[in-house]
Amino acid sequence: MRFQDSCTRRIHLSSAQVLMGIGALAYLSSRLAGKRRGTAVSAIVAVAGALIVVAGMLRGGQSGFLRETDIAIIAAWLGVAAILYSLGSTPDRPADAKSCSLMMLMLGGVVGVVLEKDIFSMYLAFEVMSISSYALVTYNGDRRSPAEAGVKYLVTNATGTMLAALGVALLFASSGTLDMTKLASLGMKADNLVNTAAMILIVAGFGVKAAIVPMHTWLPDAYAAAPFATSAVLAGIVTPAGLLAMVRVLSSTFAEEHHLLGLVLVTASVAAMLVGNLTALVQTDVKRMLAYSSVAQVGYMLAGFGIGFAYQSATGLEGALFHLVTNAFMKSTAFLAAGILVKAAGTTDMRRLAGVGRKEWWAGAAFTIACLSLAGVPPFAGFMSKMIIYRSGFEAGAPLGYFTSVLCVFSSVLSLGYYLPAIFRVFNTGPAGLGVAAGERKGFLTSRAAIYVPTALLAVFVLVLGFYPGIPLEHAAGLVGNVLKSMAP
Amino acid sequence: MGTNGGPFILAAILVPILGSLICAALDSRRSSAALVLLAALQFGATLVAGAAVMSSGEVTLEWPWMQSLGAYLSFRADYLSVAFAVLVSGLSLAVAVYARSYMDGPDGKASFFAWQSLFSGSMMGVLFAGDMILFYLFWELMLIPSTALIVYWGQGKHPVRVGVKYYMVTHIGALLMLSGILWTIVLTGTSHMGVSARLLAEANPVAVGRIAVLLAAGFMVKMAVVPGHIWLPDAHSEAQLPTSIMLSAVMMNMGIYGALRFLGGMMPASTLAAMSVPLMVMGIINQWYGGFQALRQQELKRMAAYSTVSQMGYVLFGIGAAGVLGLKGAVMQALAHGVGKALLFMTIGVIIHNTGAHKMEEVGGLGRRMPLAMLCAVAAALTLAGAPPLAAYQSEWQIFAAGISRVGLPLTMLSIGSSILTALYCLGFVMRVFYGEEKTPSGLIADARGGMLSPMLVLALASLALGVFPAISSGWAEVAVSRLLH
Repeated sequence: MRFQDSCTRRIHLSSAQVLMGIGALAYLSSRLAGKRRGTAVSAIVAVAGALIVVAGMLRGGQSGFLRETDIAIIAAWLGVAAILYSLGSTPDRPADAKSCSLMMLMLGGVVGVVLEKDIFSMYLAFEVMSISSYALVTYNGDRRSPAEAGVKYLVTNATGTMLAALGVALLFASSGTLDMTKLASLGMKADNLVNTAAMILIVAGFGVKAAIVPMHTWLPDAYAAAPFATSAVLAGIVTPAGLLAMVRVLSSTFAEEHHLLGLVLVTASVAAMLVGNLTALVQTDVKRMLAYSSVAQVGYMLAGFGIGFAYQSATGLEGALFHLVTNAFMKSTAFLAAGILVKAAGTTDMRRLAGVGRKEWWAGAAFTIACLSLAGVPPFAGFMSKMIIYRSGFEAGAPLGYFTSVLCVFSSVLSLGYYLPAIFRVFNTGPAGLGVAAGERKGFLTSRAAIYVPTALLAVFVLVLGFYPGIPLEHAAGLVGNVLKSMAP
Repeated sequence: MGTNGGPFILAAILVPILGSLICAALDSRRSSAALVLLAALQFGATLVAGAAVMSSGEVTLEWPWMQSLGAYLSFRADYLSVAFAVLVSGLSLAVAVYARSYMDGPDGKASFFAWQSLFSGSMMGVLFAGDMILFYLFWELMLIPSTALIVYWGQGKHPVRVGVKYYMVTHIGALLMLSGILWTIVLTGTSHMGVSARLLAEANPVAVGRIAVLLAAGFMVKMAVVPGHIWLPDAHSEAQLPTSIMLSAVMMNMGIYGALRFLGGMMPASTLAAMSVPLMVMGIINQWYGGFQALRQQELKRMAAYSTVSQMGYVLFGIGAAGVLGLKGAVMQALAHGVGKALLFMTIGVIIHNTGAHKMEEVGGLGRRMPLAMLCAVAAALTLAGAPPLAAYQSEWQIFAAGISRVGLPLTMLSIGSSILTALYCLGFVMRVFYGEEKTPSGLIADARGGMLSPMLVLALASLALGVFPAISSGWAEVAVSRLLH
């Protein structure tokens, strides 16, 4: 049977499977090492394993849908940063070995979503990523009862993956293959009920994971409930991975519907940018603010992908992919730095963060860089990627393209309305009594290096990519060349 | 095209930018000294680059950058950019020396001097950028240190509000400019200024006209052209005085430079000619509006801030008048205004620093207590009012002459008429502050001294020199503009 062909043919291990294996190994090794050293051992295993995989990907220069390795490498690197960070910030919580291994499983999933060339394998990786993320959100939460947010997250996202599974099944039923290159050569059309249903289910199903408005309601709760390190990875790469999964499936199917799909994505992007930014404006909780800003960031990617699909615009796809890369760095920097500030102030209420950046000024500087970058202000990375998306709208030459670009610019300005006050508040000494109480922050860090080094390194990437977007940008351009080839009817 | 001066262009940009890190790491006294040193190096590097430009006409440095965007890491110094760079780095040096004495209180933290240095360096980047995207990067980089300076050292009740307003309004202006730049890239396929300019000449004139409007809107927000001026009075009066000088006397020139470089240098001459009358009318509105507002201000810094609005009107009138004469007048006016406005702010600083007064009604008869400050104030007032033999009278008559040849006498008379307002508020300031009855308890008020006085005297002499030997600026500006237009 062809179905079995497509899922058993690949015997060699992919990077994704290796990462998942490392996750399991990390947990096992912690059990062997015993209670006292368990956490450290599992973290070392996880970090070392991830670095080896990254080195392998860098050396291997994988073929095929090339340079997706960039995104995979970034995913693995975010995981390393998050694990190091969570070692420093949660010293008193005993079960960290589990979160290390869950993190590796989740990243294995992300890497699979990015690299697998077969939709079924990709879907499996997607499920691994989702399930481990449910566990991570509810696990070790910073709040008293993260279970509530976790249940909401699980129910909505499981519904989404189920829809996506149904879509993939229908796709297989009508085409007989799930190999992306074969699918592309078949030239599927949404001219009958089965195919139309498959298309809609795939968009909706993966769209839930990507938090496309109006399917975004789970996101703020989940991000707010999860520990900062988890939120950083979720916002940095897991949520965009949902979008990437959708785009990867769509790019190899339904070439004739791409114009329409593009228009749908552009419409969704407009909604996402407006809803995300307007809601973020009124948040007083720093985590929720960053969460809603994530909804808006997905909107910018959608705009790029939408313009790319609707007008066959290489620039749009390139901008969206590059924004995915820059977003990974700036969003995770923002969450990690905010975590340090919040821990130092003892509250996530932004009104009470006044002046905390003066004490933890490295974290304050990283937070500033990340926020300005998220708002698309040069000379930071976020500007470069947004600029390419703006440009793609102008290039499209259609009224909708101009409108989308103008709206992107407008919503970026709008987003400054919450980023700037947040930055100023962090550095300004507020009215008396709202400052940081002395002694409150004593003893929250076991190892400052474990917290600061990953945060600072990510922030440096945001700066470097802003001035020299070179390699990832050229790779994104190469990637787009492949996508367009496969899209050509 | 020679490349001898290349390293010095980079030095003029990078020394203040990287040096800001050194400033931040030192203690406050050493930091202020380091700022003086950095500004001196920056000034020296600019002069060397200027000498290289004189020998070879243009100095360029180029590396590939983002191929998919057609962007280059390109730096260029020519007569126009060197004229502005000498002004910017010279004034930065004067401000650095001045700030060392002015910021001797608890506010003078190391980070203040670090931000000032970064601010100055980013402006050098704007002037020497040879690529539109690079230009835009440095343009926005200016915003970050200046906003930080306003918010964290603001002296009013609502520094955060003022800072956010400043940031948002000028950022929106910059985004209009960015739209124009991106559109240009779409039309020409590259963001390299030189290459793009050649291709624009053959592009669809309608699209080029729209691009010109977008770009002009962006630059006019920076130049505080009504109604894009709303950020200026608050920002300039909120900031600490050395920052006010950087904003008012130095940063305004970026808008002028951008307008000259893009509208004059990159667009076909017909594009600017088509915008001529609207630009000149907006210039006249600015002159009158700024003048009237300056006349009714009590607060010293606000008066100077509105005077900047008015002065930018003259420059815009000159740019609108176009042609060699108009643009040349605009360049000379920018130089004269930079020197005069810096001097005016510095005398205001002496009053604030030595008497503690921020408003005109709080002081009077200071002339007897501080004769040297009064001398400088008179020099500043006469410079801004365009009185011979100081700097601005040379530039103003050129602007007006260009205006007459472009739109005839009636409209130009409106522009000339606003000079009366300028004279009124400038001399009014001198009369009310330095003449009349003494309102402050006498005896303890000192005159300007040492670190504050020396940059003031140098600037007053510079203004005199530019007025008595107009060939210095006129000759340079003539070459700059005629090269720009061809």
